[in-house]
Amino acid sequence: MKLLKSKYKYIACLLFLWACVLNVYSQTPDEQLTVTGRVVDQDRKPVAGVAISIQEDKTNKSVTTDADGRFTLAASTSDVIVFKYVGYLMVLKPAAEVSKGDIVLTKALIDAADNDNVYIPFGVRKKREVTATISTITTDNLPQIPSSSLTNVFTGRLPGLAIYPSGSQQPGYDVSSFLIRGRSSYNSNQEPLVLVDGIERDFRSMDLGEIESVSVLKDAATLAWYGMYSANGVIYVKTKRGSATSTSVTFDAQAGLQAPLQIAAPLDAYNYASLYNEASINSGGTAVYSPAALQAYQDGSDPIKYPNNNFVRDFTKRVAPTQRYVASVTGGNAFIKYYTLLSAYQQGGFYKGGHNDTYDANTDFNRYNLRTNIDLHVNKNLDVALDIGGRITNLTFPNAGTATFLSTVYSMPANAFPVINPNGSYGGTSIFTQNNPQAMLEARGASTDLVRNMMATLSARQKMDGILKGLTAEVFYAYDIAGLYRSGFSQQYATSELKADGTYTTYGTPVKVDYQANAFSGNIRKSEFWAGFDYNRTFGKHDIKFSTRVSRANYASFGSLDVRREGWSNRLSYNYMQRYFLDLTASYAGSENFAPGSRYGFFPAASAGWIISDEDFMKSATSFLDFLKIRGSYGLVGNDAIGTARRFAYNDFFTRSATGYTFGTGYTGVSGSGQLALANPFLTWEKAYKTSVGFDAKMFKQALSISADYFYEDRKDLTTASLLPSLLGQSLIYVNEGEASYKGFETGINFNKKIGGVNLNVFGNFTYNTSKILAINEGAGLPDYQKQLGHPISSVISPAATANTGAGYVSMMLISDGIFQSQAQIDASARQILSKDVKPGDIKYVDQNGDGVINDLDRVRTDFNFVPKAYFGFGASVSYANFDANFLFQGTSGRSITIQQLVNAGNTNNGFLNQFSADRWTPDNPGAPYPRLLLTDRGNNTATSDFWIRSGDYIRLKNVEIGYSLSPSFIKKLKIRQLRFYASGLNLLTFDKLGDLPIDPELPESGYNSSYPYMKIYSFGVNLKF
Amino acid sequence: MKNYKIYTAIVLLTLFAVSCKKDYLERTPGVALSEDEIFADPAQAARFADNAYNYVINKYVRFNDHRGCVAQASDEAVSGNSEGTVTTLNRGLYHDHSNGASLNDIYDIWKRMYAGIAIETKMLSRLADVPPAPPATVPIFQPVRVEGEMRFLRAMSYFELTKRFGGVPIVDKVYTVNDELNLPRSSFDEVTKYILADLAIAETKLGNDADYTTADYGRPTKGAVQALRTRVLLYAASPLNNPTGDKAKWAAAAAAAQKLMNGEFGPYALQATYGDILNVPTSSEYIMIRIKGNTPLAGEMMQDFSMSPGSGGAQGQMNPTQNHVDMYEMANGKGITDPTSGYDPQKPYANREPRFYDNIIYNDRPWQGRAIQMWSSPAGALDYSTTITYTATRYYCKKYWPEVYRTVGGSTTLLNYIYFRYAEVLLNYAEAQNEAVGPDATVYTQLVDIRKRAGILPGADNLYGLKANMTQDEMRTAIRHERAIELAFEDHRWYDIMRWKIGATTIGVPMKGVDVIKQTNGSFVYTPFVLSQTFQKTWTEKQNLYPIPRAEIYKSKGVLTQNPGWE
Repeated sequence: MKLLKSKYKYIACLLFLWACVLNVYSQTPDEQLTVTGRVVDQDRKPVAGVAISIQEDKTNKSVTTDADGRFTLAASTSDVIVFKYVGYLMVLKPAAEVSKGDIVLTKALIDAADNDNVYIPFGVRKKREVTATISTITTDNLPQIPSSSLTNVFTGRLPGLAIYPSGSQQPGYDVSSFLIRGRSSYNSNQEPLVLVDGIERDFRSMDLGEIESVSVLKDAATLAWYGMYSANGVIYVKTKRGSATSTSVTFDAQAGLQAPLQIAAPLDAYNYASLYNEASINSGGTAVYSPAALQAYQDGSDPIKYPNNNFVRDFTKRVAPTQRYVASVTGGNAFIKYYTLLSAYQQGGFYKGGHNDTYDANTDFNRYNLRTNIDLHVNKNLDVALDIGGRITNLTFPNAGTATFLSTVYSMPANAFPVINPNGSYGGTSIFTQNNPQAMLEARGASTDLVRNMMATLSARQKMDGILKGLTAEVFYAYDIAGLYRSGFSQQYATSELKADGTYTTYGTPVKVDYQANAFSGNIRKSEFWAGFDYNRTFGKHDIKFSTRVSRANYASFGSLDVRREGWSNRLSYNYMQRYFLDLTASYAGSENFAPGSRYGFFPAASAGWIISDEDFMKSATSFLDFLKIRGSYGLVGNDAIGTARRFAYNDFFTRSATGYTFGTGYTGVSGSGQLALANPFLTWEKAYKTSVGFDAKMFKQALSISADYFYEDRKDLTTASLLPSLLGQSLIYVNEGEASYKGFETGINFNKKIGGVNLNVFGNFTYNTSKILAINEGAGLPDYQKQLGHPISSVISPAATANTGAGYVSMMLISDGIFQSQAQIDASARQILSKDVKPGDIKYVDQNGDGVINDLDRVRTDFNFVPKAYFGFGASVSYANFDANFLFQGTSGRSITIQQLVNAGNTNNGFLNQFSADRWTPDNPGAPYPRLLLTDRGNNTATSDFWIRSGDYIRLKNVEIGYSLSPSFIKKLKIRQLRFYASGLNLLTFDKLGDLPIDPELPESGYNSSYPYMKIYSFGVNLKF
Repeated sequence: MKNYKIYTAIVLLTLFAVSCKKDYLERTPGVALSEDEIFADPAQAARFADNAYNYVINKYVRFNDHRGCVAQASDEAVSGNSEGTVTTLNRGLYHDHSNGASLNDIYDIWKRMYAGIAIETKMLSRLADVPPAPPATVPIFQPVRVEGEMRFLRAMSYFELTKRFGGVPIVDKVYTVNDELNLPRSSFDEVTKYILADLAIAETKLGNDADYTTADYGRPTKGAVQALRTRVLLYAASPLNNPTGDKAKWAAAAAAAQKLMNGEFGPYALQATYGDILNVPTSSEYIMIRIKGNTPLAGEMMQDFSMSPGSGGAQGQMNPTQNHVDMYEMANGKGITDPTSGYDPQKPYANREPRFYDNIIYNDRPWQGRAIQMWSSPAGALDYSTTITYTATRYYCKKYWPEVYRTVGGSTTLLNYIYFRYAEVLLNYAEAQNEAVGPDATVYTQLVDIRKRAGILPGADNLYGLKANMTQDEMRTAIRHERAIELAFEDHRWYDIMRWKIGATTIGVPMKGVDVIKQTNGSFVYTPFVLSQTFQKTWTEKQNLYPIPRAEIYKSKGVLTQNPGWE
């Protein structure tokens, strides 16, 4: 706490200091001078008509060059002079340096203009020069959405990048995962490395306003720079920096409403009781609810004895508010450039009901982001950059637990108890002793998690032309800290049950509200250091760029040794005539995960590009083709995150923390010293051999651009089980004997055209991939139909454990053959012994090995996959006069989900009944989608099988935004540069193959069981620019 | 211009520093210990040895983390909520059981026993490397005792394997990863021989109870060695493992028990009371128990497993069957089927033998200050409803639910896991002697002692209800019956059924419960009924042995062979 506080003080001080520096610079008495000079092009020919202005000049004074390229301009020493000419690259020069020689304007080639920068690790290239596969999106093109997770904004925008929600969508969590291109490791989900300004940082909780661009690095040509840490690809986020050409202040305010996409619709008391009776009779019991009780549930005559609750209706809101405010200031001059942003975001929870004066237990998320990026031009050889980012998040949640509260609301039987008894006490029963949703919100306490993050980066670049022309040295240091502080109020409640004789039975002991013990956790300290040289030089038609860096990273958390990394990265780029490009990237990287002597690996990659459209034969051949670049890359990248092996798994060692054993009548435990899983000294990293071949083309006066890539990755040395017999009495850390691959293609298309007054942009992207397991250790005797070898890396996610299946990833299952309709059918089929009793209405399974019995030998390895075969996005943006609009559709195909944990949801207390139970098989409804209801002996109908698999394909209208800007002439009077009103929506429409099934294809369990629903968001905003 | 030279120097120096410190990634895991460090330190070596105890079976309700037990696989009880680890055994889906929840009786036992064996074998092989401990009143490391313990524990591990799988591979030395460890199964007799050899050495290394301080209570003694030996020999002589009916095997088992009964290893005796047999800190009857201190309410099994929701339990799923209940005799020692026993089907719980009241919770039993309510009609009984969290049979198990356990005002109590107690030795003797020699007086004596302690009335002939002059077959039935009652719910019945090969008549028969109707005058009507299909069990003769875990068979490329009948 103290540490954190002092850090913030420190940041505040620094900011203040920088502000002073800013003042000092502006207050230096400037010398007035008259700048004269000549502007020429590459061929030293004077250029006429070049617009010359002074940066940040309020008077908008501007001159143009004469026929000889000459100009004269009055300026002061602190000014920066800007030279602009259509088709040429912009030049900025400090006023004092202008008169020293000719100003050379360079003609901009296609994909090499001022805004065609592509950021690569510790470098920047013009798009034209890039030989690797990099997809980039700048945030100017993105809609503003008040969502706590940035990933929502990027879904479907970039070819080769799949983003899918993968966990709780509770405010402040919005868990989602990334996948670049495909999967080639069956040991992990292959989460890519996410870098923010070159450092591994959380990007989801940044504010969109902080980000300038997001690039996806996909092939070996760029990834080899990171050696052992980037085999899964890199998402490279670049934050905004100050501009030397304009000062602006912007303010954005957005307010929105979130509504659940799907949420459980529980059974009412009558239906619940009727179905319970049916299930009970099916299970060999008798009807539990009498006709009188059923009647009472229907007519609501006695809401205390026969309650009919709808907890979803009573304890959740249909919409919850969200809001976002962003202010930014950017600007600069010849010596300093700055970008500062402050944002506040709030996302309200959708719980309702209950009131406590001391706390509000409704979940609520607040986030404050601060960023200041400063670039200092100290002298003509030295540039220093200081970036500071801060983030504070505040998440409130009920102490009963989000999952507990939601599962109570979703799945508590409607007739369980009256929420409030006649005597004012909370309702409960002997089996639902602590399950009163109202009490959970107002008498169970609430906690707040306060997470504070500070991210700081300091870098310095020194030109060293005196030693070697074109040489610069750079030092780069980043230091991030984070900590979580939990505080709140504790409270306990009791519930009571009204007995037939008028007395109450009470469950639990109430405890008055009190402060709860505060707790710290998640304290993380991370530092990273990079240093090295860049050499950029052009010799006539030859252009060379070379970079080398050594790096070290240290990641420390409490209670364990800090994690370290080390590497040496190099990159050489060469091009001839801006037409033929060659890049060599190689790194030498080490990981502490491996034994001394085999700790460091060498990761080389080569890539090349050829702008074939610049060749004479092409120029004459096609008139519509403006630009065509062919490129390809091949290389090796490593991955040291090799699955669940323990740390230092190359080393055998013993722990003192083995479970204790008790001796003696004093019951004193002794601890044991246990041997950990056996080491594998030969353990090594996964080796990804990546191939990527593609092209970029521009046609029809650059209106249409297309990129496409074919990719193939072969990943070797995957860790796989050791196949040692258990007789060893020890488990062995994995062995590197696995191999898998993926291949596929991706394409992106963009059409830009101004038709009359209409600016039109249409875009789309599509990625297709398949994977294959090439080597995996499996038991030799395993039947062929149960082997994984040769199959894609595939599984469906079963997030909740059922009676017979564990949670997790499932790919082996029984194959179903509909539902038994008659006893004759059962008698004629293989014997199903998963439950004692099989009756009409139960699921029929295929006897895979023909032995007449359905057992675990009839499970089959399937290719159902939660990773889509194809994912895509398409959309458009249009602007006309003061109006603008854009939309994006996004979707997947070849993806499977399982609904087993939804249809079979429940527990013994609620009789496994839920809204889906209404569609159960009965003799009168033989075509029902789900088997008959049972309270017990449910093994047959809850076994993992393809009966529960559904298509996870969908196309979704991910977002729409419509804006209106007030006309500039009108707002000029208000001293405002821009005033825009806009309305936007997220997750608005979904098309899927699920029919009437009311679940979300992207995240089936959201809104059910114990999951927070996935939200659609409608918002309205205003954007002000000064 | 000078500036950049300084910067250059700094950058170069930094690079130099970075590139020279070659051991940046060398992270000696300082908190972890190497194998040599362990055995070079007597204290660590002692801890390594003690860790072996964690691999011994140490609780009754162990399936799926205290949600099922072998009593529910046998005819003693059913699982009220059809726990998967139990129903898979009930349905004969042993491979599903094996691969199911992480704590089960097949694959887990296989892995766990061999893991223990690896520790014990390693400790034995490194015994000589441990330096002498510095002098102290209580020595840190006693090599002699440790050797005895390791051999005893290894014998116990192999016994748990043979009990379930028959012959298993013998791992008799420390293997490393690179050794060929694809061993075939040894025969049951070979493994038994190996066990007895370990026990013979262990006996010479261990002391008696009297030799140990109270701080070492719970460690195996000479008595424990002998008790295990009687059990090993008894299993080896049993029909499953002794198809020719070799009487010498029975005689060896009887002789082993006899030695314990002679007091050679300590003054063991039946404790006076049966009802608290799991709940006392020490007992003259205990030969070896698992020490675990007081078990809290929400601990291992009670609240979530054996308690009625009416007393605050979450899942009253440990439900003894009517089959088991019917085995309890009357207080006069006569079976309820005996017309002269005085059994009244409408007052089924009156005048039963005392162990019935010690083991079973039944309708209208006074309990925790009230009467247990398990009637199905009229509605509203506290301890029964059709919801499956309540008992399926209208019985709860008292052995697993001590009376102090209740949600409001509940307290903790001891709930020991008994490895060996004296009554078992007596029963082992009786069974072996009856098979070897016949129902002689010494056989009678053991049963009489047990029944006397139980509180059965002596009767005029002082035989405590036993029939005089039984034939060998009659005596066998009597002994098996005595064992089922005396050792009920103590991890014996299921394995006894397997070794006696009597599954067809005990498991493969209808499982029953009793329906209770409360009359308006407050009396009850009891109607035994066959439980629903959910609770019925299947039996085929292959179930006398568990299948070897299939994954191990697959890995062995044909070296490991499966037990007969299992695919």
